Amino acid sequence: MYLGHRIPWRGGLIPGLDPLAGLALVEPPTAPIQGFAHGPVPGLGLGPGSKGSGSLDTPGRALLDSPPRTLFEAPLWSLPGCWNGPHAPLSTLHSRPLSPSESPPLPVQFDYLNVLVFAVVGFAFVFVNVLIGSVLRPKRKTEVGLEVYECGEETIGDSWVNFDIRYYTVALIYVIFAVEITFLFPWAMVLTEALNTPDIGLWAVAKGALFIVILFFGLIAVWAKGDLDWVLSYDGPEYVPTAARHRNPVPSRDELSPPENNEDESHETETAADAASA
Amino acid sequence: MGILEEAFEENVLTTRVDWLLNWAKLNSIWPMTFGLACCAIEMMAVGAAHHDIDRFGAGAFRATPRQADLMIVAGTVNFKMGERVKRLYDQMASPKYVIAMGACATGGGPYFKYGYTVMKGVDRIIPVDVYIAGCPPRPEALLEGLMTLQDKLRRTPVIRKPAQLQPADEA
Repeated sequence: MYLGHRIPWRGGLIPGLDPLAGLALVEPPTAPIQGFAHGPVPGLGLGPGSKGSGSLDTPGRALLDSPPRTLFEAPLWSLPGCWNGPHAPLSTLHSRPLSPSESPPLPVQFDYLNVLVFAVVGFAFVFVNVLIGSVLRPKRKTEVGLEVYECGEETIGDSWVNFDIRYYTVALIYVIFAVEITFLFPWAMVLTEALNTPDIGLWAVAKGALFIVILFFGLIAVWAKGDLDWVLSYDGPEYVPTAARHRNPVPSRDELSPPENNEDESHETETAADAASA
Repeated sequence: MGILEEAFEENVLTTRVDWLLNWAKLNSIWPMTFGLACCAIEMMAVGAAHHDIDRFGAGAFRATPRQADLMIVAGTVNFKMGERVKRLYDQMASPKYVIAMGACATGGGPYFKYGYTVMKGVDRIIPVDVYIAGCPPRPEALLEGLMTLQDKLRRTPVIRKPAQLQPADEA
């Protein structure tokens, strides 16, 4: 039995078009349906109303039947503007009597205003912060600072090179074998039984072989196109950088030398001896 | 040079705006993930839960100098690494600050006399804001150094022109 017929906000007025009509196998619970706000929800789990072999207990059934309070709790087909929404006036959207502790729900249109305010504030937050940062931050750009960051190393070569993304071809070829395994495994599982069945017999083998042959044609096609060869020659023009990269020289080792006025005498004698030997 | 940087004379408004900007700056000093030697172990301890450098807003260790405000030179800087340190410092975005953590980064430390590969202080290549003594310093010392840097930031005006020294002050 389908419970939607007594819910005015969903589906009852056009029963033939209800998308959940095929699932209407839930037997009516003995207690009246209550929402989450009033305690445990009948219909979740195996309740006393769902005994018997023919009953299908759908989890969340009662959640769908309880009236939505906000936009995000509502099933899509229950909103005004959806196909069965306008048939129910807004005042009947919440047919459940409210307890004294509950505030009456806002109209649904105000929830769309929430979305609008959320989007506007979200976009404005990003751009206002970027604007503030561009006004406040110091802009001191140096040659070394604009270099490519390579963990402190000098970059070797240029980052603007052609990169072969040919690996997608390998992924496509893999699909051939993946599909082959996916379909041949259940076929192989029942093959012995099929051979012993009089009406099928060798047809099972023939159909499997035909499937393999068709996929093998695909493999031959990629083989003929040369996609199985990993190393390909590149016939296009060679990349030439438009401008030579300029680097600021880092301080050389001589500039980073230890202090000269060393007060340690033994060290000075050592350096003097080194200088004399050199 | 930024649009608003050092653009105004001293008055009440710039004082309060400077306070606000510095409050934002000194509570979000993001250090760079950059450890050279045993001081880096102490730096990791500071980043971990027990000492928790995140209390000072400096717990977001960035993996790129583009996003980092603070370079904690934690460890021995040899000449080979010094070139990299210089380049990393240059690749950081302004405003940027440097903490020389420990004896090696401050002045060569135990390698001062015979360490022929060790640079005698990282301030020979990059400007250092705060020096921290110790070999290695305790995690509390690094936190002290960070707070010292925050004090320095707190005293530094952003949009106000720095105070000019009068001739009487110079004397």
